[in-house]
Amino acid sequence: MSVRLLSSDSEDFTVAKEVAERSMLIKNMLEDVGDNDNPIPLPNVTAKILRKVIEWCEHHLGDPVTNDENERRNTEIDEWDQKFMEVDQETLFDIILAANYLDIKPLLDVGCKTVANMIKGKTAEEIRKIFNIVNDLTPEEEAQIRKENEWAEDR
Amino acid sequence: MVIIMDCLSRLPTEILEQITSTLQPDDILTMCCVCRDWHSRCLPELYRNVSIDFIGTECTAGILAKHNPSTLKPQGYSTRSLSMSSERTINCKELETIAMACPFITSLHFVDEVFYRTMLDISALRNCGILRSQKYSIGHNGNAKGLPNYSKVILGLQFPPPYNQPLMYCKTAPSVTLAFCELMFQHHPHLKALSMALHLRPLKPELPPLLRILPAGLTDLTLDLGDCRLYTSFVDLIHDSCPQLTSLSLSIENDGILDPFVCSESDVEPINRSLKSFTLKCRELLCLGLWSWVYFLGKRYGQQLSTVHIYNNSRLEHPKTQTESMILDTFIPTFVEQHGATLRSLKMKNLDFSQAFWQSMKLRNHGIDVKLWDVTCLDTKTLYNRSYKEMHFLLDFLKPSIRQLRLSMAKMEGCFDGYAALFGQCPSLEHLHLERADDREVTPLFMLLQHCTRLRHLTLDHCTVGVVESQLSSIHGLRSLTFNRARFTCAEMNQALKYLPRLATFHIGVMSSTILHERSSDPPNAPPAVALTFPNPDMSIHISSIFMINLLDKSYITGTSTMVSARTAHSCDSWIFSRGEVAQVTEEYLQAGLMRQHILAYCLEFICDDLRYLKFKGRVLIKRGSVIPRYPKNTALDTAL
Repeated sequence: MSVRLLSSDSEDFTVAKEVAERSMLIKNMLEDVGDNDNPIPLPNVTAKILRKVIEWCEHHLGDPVTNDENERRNTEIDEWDQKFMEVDQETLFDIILAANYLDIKPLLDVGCKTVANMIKGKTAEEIRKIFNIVNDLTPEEEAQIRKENEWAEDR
Repeated sequence: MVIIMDCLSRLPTEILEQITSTLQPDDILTMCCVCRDWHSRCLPELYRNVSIDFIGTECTAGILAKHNPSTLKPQGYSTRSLSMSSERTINCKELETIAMACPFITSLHFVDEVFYRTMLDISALRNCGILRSQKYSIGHNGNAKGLPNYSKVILGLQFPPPYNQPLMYCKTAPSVTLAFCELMFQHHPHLKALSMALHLRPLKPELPPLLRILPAGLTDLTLDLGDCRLYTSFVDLIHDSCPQLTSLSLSIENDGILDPFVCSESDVEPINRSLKSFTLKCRELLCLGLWSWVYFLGKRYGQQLSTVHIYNNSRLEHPKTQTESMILDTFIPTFVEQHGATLRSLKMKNLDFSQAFWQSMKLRNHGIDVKLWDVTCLDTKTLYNRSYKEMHFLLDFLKPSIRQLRLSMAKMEGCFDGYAALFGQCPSLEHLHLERADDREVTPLFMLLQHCTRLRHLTLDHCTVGVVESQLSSIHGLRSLTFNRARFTCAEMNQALKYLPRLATFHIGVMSSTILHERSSDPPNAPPAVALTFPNPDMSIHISSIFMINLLDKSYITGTSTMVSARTAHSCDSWIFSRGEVAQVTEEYLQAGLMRQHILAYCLEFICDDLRYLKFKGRVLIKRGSVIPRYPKNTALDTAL
């Protein structure tokens, strides 16, 4: 049993139903529509990103589905996922947005953890470099922000 | 004008929230300092979860009431979770300010010291004669939202004379506590999660009236009930007040009481279909008490109950129980029959009959997939330590599903190889926490890692860490390594670190660890040369304490370190601790007059090209790669020596 998915740039993907059903959005759609040969349009996802997402869903097909937030949060990013997320930032954030739109919670988790790991323990300057951000705060403003929220500093 | 959006700015708020939920407040603060756009987006995240302990001595209410520069609303408008367990006085006015600044709080944590102090505050008002003059409003009058006012309501309660009696000695104090809690719930109408501790005896309310006023919308409830007697029927009361409850955690001084009607066969109480997680912590007990709770869980809850944690923190041995057959024949089978196949997380500490329990579990799940992924089996009393045979049985049962495992082990029978192989049979094991029975027993680190290739987090308690290079053929992907009360030599640890390039956290935990001499021929009085080399520059290192010397045990420990020192690869910077830092030195040690100079220069450095984070005894020394300039820098080590 397979399902057809149509990316925003009109590329047609045929995938196994179980793979597509990792996406709660698609799963619900399929339940509503029933057996039907028409492709499901996904206007928010480009072919490039959809290909990545399908790759992820295929690899994680056998994973047990868990609704326990705590259980999911506690899971480490495994090596395969780490490799999978080694993409340019634009793609990484597109994958996160697609996972959010398609409602694939475990993929969204992996994406968010990847971004958090890029930030954890870094200085503001290092973060600017990583995310290619121009600093539009004056040193005085930056000092002011630190001072106003001093309680948050690790002591 | 073209606005170039960076990647993060494209994300909707709920995703940003998910990203920051795994970060510490200081990381979120750094995000606020990146640029204007991040500042306005991340500032609410910084105030989402607020702990007053974290804020410390500053005025919490003031911080929360201060306006966010971009929304012009109080910072507290973004606060969803507030924890008040501070030692610091919080007065009525502050509590009311918090209630107004944080109208959307869904999660609240407080201990009774909070309202104890509030009441002291009110007592002070009372003693000023305010009650007699009936001018209640002196405490706080800017109450724009019509929130009930603590001092007003509590003072409005009928108190017996004399008025000048300190409130906490007053007989009616429990009813004040009740009134206080009710007010608290009114001030925060959106509560979903509530955690409170009730310890102070004179203020302790009667339990049933308190349980009846719990907010109806609660989904998570944590109660520390001190020495209140807890009947199982009180749990039913809680469910009556909070029909949507999914998680319940109770701490009690002594084991609770199983109401007799639960045991009767004709029991027709409806089964609860909402609770998913149940935790019970008990400080002193009779053994029957906890197993009767297990029985209660089996009787009362549907199979949605997926998490059961039961801890017996009593330091005493279990009393000999008269009801062994009842536990074995009725209590265990009832629970296992109902929940054995559906449980996902099970933690048990110091429950006897655990062997019988696991055998019953295995029987129940014959031919069914086990769902347990998170299991803790602790026995701090040597009497019940797990034998090899029992561990084999347990792991054989859990191996298909287990991901997080914490175990106390029996005194070793035979070599460790057999144990390592047992853990190696669990294909999904990621977190392993082992408590050995004797710290002389060597745990061969590489042998364990060789068997457990998917292991990412390892904690070893109470053991000697052995490193034999030939036991590991290639590098291992371990991410975090923690030692509590462990003993190791630096040479071996450095050997191990070479094979762990992905290690991100190295933690010498709360219970002190010992650094050993490398050779027994080393002079016993001199500290061993200590230098740890960390291969991964992105690492964070936490050291809570390192034990110094054990003179009573010279035969085995030939000397432990008073000086942990090393040089950075680039410079000779050193950080000298003041005398106060070495308060741990034992009396014998000082009397022996050994190495006093080393105590003065209790130094700590590590060889690492670019260490990101170092925490020593609760203080951050290196953060984000730079040294926190709190300690005198460049004080020459040699002078101190």
